[in-house]
Amino acid sequence: MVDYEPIDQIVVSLAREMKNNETCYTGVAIPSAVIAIQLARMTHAPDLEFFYAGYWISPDFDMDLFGIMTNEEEYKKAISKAKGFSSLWQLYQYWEGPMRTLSFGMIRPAQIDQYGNINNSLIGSPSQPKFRFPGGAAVGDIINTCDHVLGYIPRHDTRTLVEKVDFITGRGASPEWRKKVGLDMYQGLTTLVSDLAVLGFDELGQMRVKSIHENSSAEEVQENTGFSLDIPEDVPTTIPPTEKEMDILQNKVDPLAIRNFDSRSR
Amino acid sequence: MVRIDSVSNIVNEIIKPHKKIAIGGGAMFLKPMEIVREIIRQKITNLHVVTLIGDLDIDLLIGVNAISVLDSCYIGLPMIGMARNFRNAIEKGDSLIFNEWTELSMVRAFQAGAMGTPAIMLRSLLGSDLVKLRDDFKEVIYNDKPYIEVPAITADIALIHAYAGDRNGNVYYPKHHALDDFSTLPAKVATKLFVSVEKIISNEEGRKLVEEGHAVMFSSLDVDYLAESPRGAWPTGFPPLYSSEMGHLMTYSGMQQSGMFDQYLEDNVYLTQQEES
Repeated sequence: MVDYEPIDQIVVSLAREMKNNETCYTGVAIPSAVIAIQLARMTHAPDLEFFYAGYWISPDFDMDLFGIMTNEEEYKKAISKAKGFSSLWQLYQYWEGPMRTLSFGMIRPAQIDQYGNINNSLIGSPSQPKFRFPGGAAVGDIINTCDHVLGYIPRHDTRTLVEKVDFITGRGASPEWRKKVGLDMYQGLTTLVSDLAVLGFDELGQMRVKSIHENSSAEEVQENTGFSLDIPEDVPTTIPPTEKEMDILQNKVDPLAIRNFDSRSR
Repeated sequence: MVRIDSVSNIVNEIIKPHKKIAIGGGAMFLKPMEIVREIIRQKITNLHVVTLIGDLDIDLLIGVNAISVLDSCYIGLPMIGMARNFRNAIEKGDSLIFNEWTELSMVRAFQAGAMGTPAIMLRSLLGSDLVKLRDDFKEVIYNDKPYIEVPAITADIALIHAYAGDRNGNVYYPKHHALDDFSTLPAKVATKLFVSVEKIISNEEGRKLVEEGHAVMFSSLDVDYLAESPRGAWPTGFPPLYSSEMGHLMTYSGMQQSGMFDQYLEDNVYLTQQEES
């Protein structure tokens, strides 16, 4: 039995959704996404191409991913450990230009509803919000420009998973809507991992439970969700982190445990 | 013709209430922090600020009521937490007007501004409620497909922090650099460009930098005002010259949350000026 924290299960489950030969991007403001990508690259997906921090292409840093911008010495050392170098400017072209489409992008919704609509903007009325989030940054863009999107929420609760979001920063997984506006070449959000379960979406774009983590239960997942999930009795249990995954996560990818920043923020 | 002077003299001369200011940098990198601190010292208010990703710069300016209109796609302290002056101002219903964009729509609007075209169409905003909040975002049909048309972003003055500038006003990159599009995009939409640099060098030294392989970030045709400001992006980072000082940013966040914002300003904004003068 391997010792692990809920955030470790999130990182590991995200990593397992990533495939070899895909191309992905994520921002540094959602650390567990960065860590999950590196974990995938160091386990089953060594050829997963990763556009990191607006500059590095597929960096092979086996530690201190977040300190890389810190000084000239570290930076020079890191240069030999990346497959290539690019620019924010090029990344922005990937988001709608003809050169390439990214296989997946990653998001951390502040609030999300049963149709996968994402709210990273505000709670309450737009003219007088009760709660103002930092803003969606690229959430709305990623959901409409990448083949698909992986998301995570560090805390699965009824404040985060709601029947209907207060505000749509990025449109969810509805295949019908995507077809109508001609964005059906992109799937939108396909997987959402929480500290209790792995969630997905059915053919109508309605959120469904793919698996429940070993320390949780169908009752707990439903209780902490603001809408009915219709959890089938034979819902699988999420495979917990393996010894190998935890070893790489703790000793190679994220020895400073930066992923814990995620379990603290909302 | 570039005008080379101190940060305080240039701020005093060009930053006025109701000006539209584009601020470079993003996500706690490359912010022109010394210029921002000088705006606070000079108690300039009623600015319209445009920045792709705002962090300490915006939270400080909002904390002293310097901003009346703000355009951005994200205001926060990545890895640390919320930009709480920003959040409080909006939740309390202060007069701050916040126009939220998505990152790509804002980038495209900067591009449009730089090209002098009045608007630009994109698809990634489709389905977002952000469109409903804006009179100037419109759904349009082009070749039978829906797009969202957004207005170009332009500004009166761009504030940028960079590596080195020569007496002619050429501004150079450090030899290794990253994330500079956070600064080059907003720099190109403004009528006037004010660059603070780590160091001002002679024209001969500038030529030498070119020979050594440094690229030119802005030419003497682009730069209107140039000031020397060593570590001028601090406490945000300037990769790879210096890091974002996370400890300082955490201290800021803690002081802000425990009602010590004024004390932070006293220690880090006002006091530094007295020491220098």
